[in-house]
Amino acid sequence: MSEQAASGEKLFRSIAAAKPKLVTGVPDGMLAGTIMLCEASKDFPYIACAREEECIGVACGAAMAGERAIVLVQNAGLLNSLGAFATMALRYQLPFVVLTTNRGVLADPNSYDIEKYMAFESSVKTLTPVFSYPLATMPDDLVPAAFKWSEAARRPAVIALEKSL
Amino acid sequence: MAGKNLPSQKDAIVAALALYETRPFAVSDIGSQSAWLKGGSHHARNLYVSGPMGLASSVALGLAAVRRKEEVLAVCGDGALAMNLSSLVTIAGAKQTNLAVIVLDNGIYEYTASVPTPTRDLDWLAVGRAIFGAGSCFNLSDLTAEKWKTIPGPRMIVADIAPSIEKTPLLGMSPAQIRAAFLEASKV
Repeated sequence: MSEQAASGEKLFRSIAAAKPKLVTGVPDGMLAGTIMLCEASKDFPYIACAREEECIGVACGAAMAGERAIVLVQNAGLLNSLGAFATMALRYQLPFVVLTTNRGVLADPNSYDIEKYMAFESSVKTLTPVFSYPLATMPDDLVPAAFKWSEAARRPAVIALEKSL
Repeated sequence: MAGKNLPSQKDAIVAALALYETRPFAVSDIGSQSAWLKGGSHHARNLYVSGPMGLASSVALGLAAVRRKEEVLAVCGDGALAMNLSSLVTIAGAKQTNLAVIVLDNGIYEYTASVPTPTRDLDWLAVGRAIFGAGSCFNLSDLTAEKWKTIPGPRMIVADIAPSIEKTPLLGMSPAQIRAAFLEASKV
């Protein structure tokens, strides 16, 4: 199994361990394997959204009913969604987990990703705490732990998953 | 739309809710949709989205996905839905059969000095039928409770409405109040 496939499966196992009622997202290369596994899961629905801002709305709808929801998006996608994130998720103090791939870090130097990383660092991290982990070596209990934090803090837990050197 | 004998937004919302045998969850957009939903049919099963514009259809999808045995109605303005038009594609793709969307079309942003919407000349019925199918999208004026029961979901209702002549009421609920009330009403 390739390192990317192993990482995708590891993230899926952590997601499943949190027992979400739904997972929603927009694909990114680093998330593709996990999304395919979520699509195939019989334990929860995966809602494929056309735009990332919708994912925030979908997760908020589940959280409003007291259910666990997970968002899978790239950093640029979360940047697209900051209005909804602030005016819905933060305003209503809704707990859910956002797993975002932080593209454009030192180990991920695609020229088209650099500005996404810079914008993510300067905007999202000033709005809400962001917890960063290398995708390949993330802890197995990352997603369940993120829910515990989110439910205690009454706000979304944003996890930035990164490539590492 | 001028010159037509159109219902008010409040009356259209009440008429749409009356299509259901039991009260659905109703998720309304910020502004006049939430105000007139509360004014016309305040209920514990209403979820007033008082922050982002245009997100009600997505919030309703998330709710419908975790409450599959319940019916959910997203109450959207034409300007609001235009801001999140892709959500209709997502709802159709998700095949969320317990979800319906009503678009209340007055051609203006009623809460924002009645500035015209970019969709004022859009054929919402054609849009809905293209996305959900001809058998799942209808004008409100063509629907009865009997017919509504037979329409496969996800469904869409198009309601041409008159610009309000009444002052839009204030929502008068904080996000914390809305959340607490809805959490209780949506418990399984």
